[in-house]
Amino acid sequence: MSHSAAPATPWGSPGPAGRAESPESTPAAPGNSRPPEPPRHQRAPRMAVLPLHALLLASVALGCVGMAGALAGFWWVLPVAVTVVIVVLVTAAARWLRVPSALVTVLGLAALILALTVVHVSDHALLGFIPTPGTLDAVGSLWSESGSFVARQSAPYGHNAGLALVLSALVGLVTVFMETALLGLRMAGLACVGILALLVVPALTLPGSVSIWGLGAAILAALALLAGSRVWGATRLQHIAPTPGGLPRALLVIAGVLAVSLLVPTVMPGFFSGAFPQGSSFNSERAAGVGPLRAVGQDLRESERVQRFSYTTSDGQPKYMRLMSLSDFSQPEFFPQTDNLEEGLDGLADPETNPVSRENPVTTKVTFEDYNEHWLPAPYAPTEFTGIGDEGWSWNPRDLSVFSAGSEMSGGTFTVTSSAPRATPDAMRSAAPSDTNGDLADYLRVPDETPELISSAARQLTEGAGNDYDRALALQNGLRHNFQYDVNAPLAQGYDAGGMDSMGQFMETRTGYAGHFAPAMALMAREVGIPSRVAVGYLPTTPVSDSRGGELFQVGTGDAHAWPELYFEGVGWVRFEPTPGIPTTPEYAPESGNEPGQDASGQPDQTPGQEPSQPQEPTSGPTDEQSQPPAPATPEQAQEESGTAFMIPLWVLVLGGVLLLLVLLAAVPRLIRGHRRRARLADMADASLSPRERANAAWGELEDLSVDHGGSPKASDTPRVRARHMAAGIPAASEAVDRIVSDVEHASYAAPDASWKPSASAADLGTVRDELMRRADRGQKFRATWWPASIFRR
Amino acid sequence: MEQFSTHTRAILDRMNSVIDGKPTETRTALTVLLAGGHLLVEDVPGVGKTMLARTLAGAIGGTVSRIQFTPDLLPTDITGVSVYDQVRREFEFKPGPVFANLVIGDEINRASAKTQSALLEAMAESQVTADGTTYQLATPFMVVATQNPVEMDGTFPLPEAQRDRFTARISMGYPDADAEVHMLAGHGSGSPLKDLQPVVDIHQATQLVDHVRSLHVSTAVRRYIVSLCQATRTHPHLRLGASPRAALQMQAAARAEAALAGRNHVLPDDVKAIAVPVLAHRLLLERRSGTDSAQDVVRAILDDVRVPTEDGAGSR
Repeated sequence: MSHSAAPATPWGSPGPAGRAESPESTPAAPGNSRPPEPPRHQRAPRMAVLPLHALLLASVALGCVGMAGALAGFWWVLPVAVTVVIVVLVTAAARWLRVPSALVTVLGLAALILALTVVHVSDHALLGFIPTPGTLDAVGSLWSESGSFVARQSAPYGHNAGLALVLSALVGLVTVFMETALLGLRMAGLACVGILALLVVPALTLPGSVSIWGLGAAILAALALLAGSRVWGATRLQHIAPTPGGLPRALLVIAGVLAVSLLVPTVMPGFFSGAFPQGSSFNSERAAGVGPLRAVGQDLRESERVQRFSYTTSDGQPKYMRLMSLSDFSQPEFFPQTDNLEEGLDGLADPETNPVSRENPVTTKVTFEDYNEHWLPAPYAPTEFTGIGDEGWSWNPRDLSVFSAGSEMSGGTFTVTSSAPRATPDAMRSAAPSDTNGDLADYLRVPDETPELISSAARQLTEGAGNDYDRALALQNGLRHNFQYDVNAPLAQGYDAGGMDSMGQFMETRTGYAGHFAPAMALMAREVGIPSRVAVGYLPTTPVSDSRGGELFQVGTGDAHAWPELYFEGVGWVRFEPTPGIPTTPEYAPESGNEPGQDASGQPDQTPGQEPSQPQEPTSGPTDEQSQPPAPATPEQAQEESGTAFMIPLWVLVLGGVLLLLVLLAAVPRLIRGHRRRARLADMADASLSPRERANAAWGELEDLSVDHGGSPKASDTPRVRARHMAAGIPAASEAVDRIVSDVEHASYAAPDASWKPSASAADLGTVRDELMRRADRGQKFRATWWPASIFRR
Repeated sequence: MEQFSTHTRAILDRMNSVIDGKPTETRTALTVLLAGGHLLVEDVPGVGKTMLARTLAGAIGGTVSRIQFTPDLLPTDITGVSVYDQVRREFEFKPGPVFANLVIGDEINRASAKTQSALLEAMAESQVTADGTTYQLATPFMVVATQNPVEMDGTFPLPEAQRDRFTARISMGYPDADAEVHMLAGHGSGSPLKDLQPVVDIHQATQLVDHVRSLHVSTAVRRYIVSLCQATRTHPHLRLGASPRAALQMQAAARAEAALAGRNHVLPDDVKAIAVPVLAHRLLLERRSGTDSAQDVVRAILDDVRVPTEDGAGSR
C-alpha cells in the first residue's frame, strides 16, 4: 500500500490510499452477501472450562466406582482423590489462563508428579515436594512393593502404601489423558477410553469381573462425558473435510490410546509378574494368566531375588520343596487341578486315605517370608501338617499337594512330616508294569497335540532299554546330554514354557529350562508307557546357620524349579532330573558317564539306550534328597546373575528416559509453532475456506512471526499500525506486509464481497520471515526457532 | 468515488487557501460536514474560529446564515417569528437565520441558556416548530458554533447535554509563525472571503453526505466503537462518559473519515482518528483527576482498548 499517495489525514492517521475502489462498483449490498459460512479452522467456540473440569472430576470418580470392588475398604480414596484434584485444578487453571493445549498436558503431568511426590513420598523429597534422586528410589521401592503385594494377595486388596501410589499414578495418568482428550482435542469419545482404562483394574483382578455397580457408574460417566461435552462446547466443529494438521492429531490420538493401554498394565505390576498363578492375583480360577511352568521361568528371570520362605529339617538336609503337580497335558498351558480336593488335612495324616510309606520320617519346619502361594511347600511325600490350623485347607489325594483358597501366609510357620519313597534302581527295575486302566490312566494320556518329535525322540532314546526304569533313565540322560539349558532364549524366541505350545519348538531348538525339560520328559515317559506328571516347586538350597546353630535353608525366586515324577509300581512317584542346568541327578538315577572330573567339561556323546552304570549304594535306601549335595548356587541362579550383568542399569535407563523427555519437551514449542505455520499456510491455499479465513490465517502467521522475533504488538493497535511497526524493521518486506494487512483489513472490516480474494500469498510470508531472520542476531534466531514467543500468547 | 475525492479535495484546498496552517482543523470541519453533524469550535478570540466556519460555508454552495450570539438574543431571533400580515390579514412565518444550509453561531456561549437551547433543539431535530406548525430545516444542515473558553467574561458555559449534540469539537490554536506571516501578507489586500467561490453546489454536497452514509461499517468496528464508549463510562478519571448518541456520531464521523481516505469501508484506524475530537468535549473529568485533560483520557483509552479484527472475537 503506498502511503505517499494518500492525502495526509488529520490526527495522525496514515492516509490509506484509495485502492481503486469506487462506491459505485462496490456498494454495500447486503442482499448480495452469501450466508455466513460456519467458521471452520478458526478457533472453535469457547468452552466452558470450569464445568468441563467438574465433569471430568465426576467422570473419573464414577470410573473409580468399579475399582472399589477390587479394593478392601476406602483407604485408597484419599490419596487418589488428592492426586486427581490437584491434576484437575492445575489443568483447569491452565485452560482458564488459555495456556496452549499441549502445554496444559505437560503441566498436568507435572502436577501429577508433584501430587504423587507430595502425597506418597514427601519424606524423600526436597522440602516435601521437590523430587530428588532419593524420591525416585523411594518410588521404585514402593513400586516393587506394590508388585509383590498384588502378586501375593488376592483381590480385594487391603491397605498398602505401594498400591496407593500405583493407583494414584494410574488414575492421575488417566485423568491427564481424559483432560487432554476432552478439552485439548475436544474428543469426548476418546476421553471415554480413559474410563475404560480405569475398569481394567477390577476387570483383571476380580474373578467376577467388574461389578454391576462399577459398570453402571462407568457407563454413566461415559454418557455424562458425551453429553457434557456438547453442553459446554468441547465438541469439534461440523466440518469433516480433511483439515491440515489432521495427521499430527491422528498420531496424537494413537499415541494416547497406546499410552493408556500400555501404561495401565505397567502401573499394575502384579498382573504380569508373579509366581504361580494359583498364588498370583489371578485367584484360584484358571481364568487367565500364567501357568506354573511359565511362572518358574519368570521367577528365574527375576532380576531381584525375593526370599519366599526358609526351613529347617530334622535330618539337616535340604529338600526339593514341592508345591503341586501337573498331570493334565491337554491344555495349551498346563494348570494344576483344583477340583476333587479333600477338605481338611485329617485325611492326609490317615494311612488309609494316604497310603504312602511312612518310613524314615523327616520333619521340616517352614517359615514363610514373602510368600503368596495357595500351595504349601513340602518335601514329597508329606504325611502330616501341623501348625497351620484346620480352616480352609484341602489336599489332593492324587499328588498330595496342599491347597488353600487364601494365600496370605507371610510370616506364618508350619511343620510338615514327610517320608521319601524308597527308590532304588533294583526296586524300580523290577517294578511290575503299570496298570494302564486304573487310576493311573490319567497319567498315561498323551494328548493329540503332542509334537511328533516327542514320541520319536522317546522311541529313539529308549531303544534297547529293557524295563521302565532303564527307559526313564535313558530319557533323563538323553535330555541332559543332548539339550541345552537357557532360561532366556525361549522367551526371546517366543516359546516360553507353560504348556504344549512350547514343546514343539523346544524339541527343535533343544534349548530351554526346567519348564520345558520336565514336561518333555513326562510326555516322553507317557509315550513309552510310564505314568508321569510334572512337579513344581523349589530346589534344595545351600544352608546358612540359623541363630540356634542349626542349618537353615532359604528359598527364593531363583530356586523355582520343575521336575518330572514317574510312577513305579511298588515304589511310588519318583523324581527324575532331566534339566541339564541342575548339576546332580538323584542317586538312584545316575547320569551316565558321570565320572568325577568329567561332568564339568566333557559332554560324552551319549548314545540313546546306553546302559547307565549301577548306583554304588543300592542297599542303603537313601532318599534322593539326602544324597543330593546342596547346590551351592544352582546354574539357574548363575544364569540369572549373569543375565543381570548384561542388563542396563536402571539409572541409565531412567537418565536416558529423562534426557529423551527433556529433548522432546525442548522441541515441543518448535513443533507446535511449525504445526501452526503449516496449518495456516495450508489454510491460505485452501480454496474451500472463505477468503476471510484465508486472510486471517496469513495475518495470524504474520503477527506470530513478528512476536517470535521480539515484536510485542499491542492489542489496542489496529492491524495497520501493527504492520507499520513491523515493516519499519524490514523495509524490504514492506510490500508483502502491506498485502497481508490489506487482506485482513478487507476481510475483517469491508462489506461482504463474494468476488474478493486475498492478494497475499505464502511467498509474502516467506519474504517476511526471511527478512526477519536476516536481520536477527544469533540469539534472536535461536529464540525464534526453538522458543517462539508466539506460542505463549493466544 | 472519483467525484467524491475530487470534490472533497477541492473543498479542502479552498479552505486551506484561506485558513493558513490549519489543515487538521479544516479536515475535521469537513469530516463533520460529511458526517451530517455539527461542529463546535472553541478557542480564544481572534484565532480564526469564525473564519473557519465562513470558509467552510463559502466552499460549498447553499445558503449561509450567521448568528452573533449576545446575552439579549431571543430564541425567536434564531428560529423565526410569525408576524401579522396586514394586507393578507393572517399570520405569516418569517423564517429565522436557522433556515440555512450552514448556520454559523458565533460565540454561542454568550447567549442565555434559553436561546442556546433553541438552536440546539433545531440541531437535534432538523426542524422548527412555531405556532403549532412544523417547518423542516434545509438539507444539508450544519451548525458551526464557536465559543470562547468558559473562563472568559460574560459567557454561559454550554451544559453537557447540549455539548453532546455537537459531533466534534476543535480548537483552532495559534498559527505558527510562517503561517501567520503568510496570513498577514494575504489579508493585506482585503478579506480573502470576498472572492471565495463555492467549489460544489448544494446538490453535490448532499450527494457527498449520502455517499458517506452508504459506507460499510463492520461488526468488528461497531464493537470497537462501543468498547471505546463503554471505556469512557467506567474510566476512573471521568465523571461522565460518552452517551449512546456519541457512539452514533462516532460511527458517522468514522464513515466520513474513511470516505475522505478513499475507502468504502471503515477501519478501526478511522475510529481512532476521529475519537479525540468526537469524544473529548462530552466527557466530564473527575475533580481529582490531576492535570489530565479530556483529550489525554481519550488517548489513554485508545491506547488501552483492544482492536477487534473479527466478528465477536478479540484480536489474535
